[in-house]
Amino acid sequence: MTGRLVVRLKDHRERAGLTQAALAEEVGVSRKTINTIENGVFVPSTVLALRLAARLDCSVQDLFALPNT
Amino acid sequence: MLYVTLRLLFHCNEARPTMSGNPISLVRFWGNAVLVVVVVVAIAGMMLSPAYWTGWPWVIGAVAMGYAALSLAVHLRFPDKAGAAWDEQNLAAHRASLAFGYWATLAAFLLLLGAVWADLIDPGAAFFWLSPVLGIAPAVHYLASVLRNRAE
Repeated sequence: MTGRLVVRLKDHRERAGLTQAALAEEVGVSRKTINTIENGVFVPSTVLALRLAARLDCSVQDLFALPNT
Repeated sequence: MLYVTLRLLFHCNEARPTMSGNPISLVRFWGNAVLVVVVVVAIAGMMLSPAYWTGWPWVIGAVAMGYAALSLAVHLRFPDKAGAAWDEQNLAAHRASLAFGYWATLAAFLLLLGAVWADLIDPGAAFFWLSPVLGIAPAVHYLASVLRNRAE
């Protein structure tokens, strides 16, 4: 979580039984990008957020949320 | 020494930089690293003994062209890896490195302009010294992004 965004990508990825590398491969980005998204260092574009949500079978709001919402 | 330093950095925990398995990213990283090292060695060599050897610009040019050719070759050989190598985080780091290169070159230009006005350096030499900054500033910034885990 960063100060401006709550990230739950890691929980959903692990629930889906995927490694960072496997998820990265499936959505077409580098493993490091998945890692920095999970750590709240990098905020993904809308397109990538939608791709991640589609692959993890959840909504974008499940993966990312504003603090205090 | 650079190799040992990078190895130490890469083989630590998850929070530390990790070496990519993507051949395009690998060539980009090592191409930038070699370019930076060659330019730094050239600058040091030219500063220590300017009249000793004047072939450094050719060496820098050859390394840069070799890196470009190698980069083209791996893009053609591994087209399926290009998307991940140039994903949105890497593109953001690449754009940031170009912006850094612009400001670094502008700063170096102003510094050298002052030196020319103060008669500390010949205008031709000042123009010559501008090129290494223009050449390696983006590469230095990109390497820093990789080592900070902001790119690969």
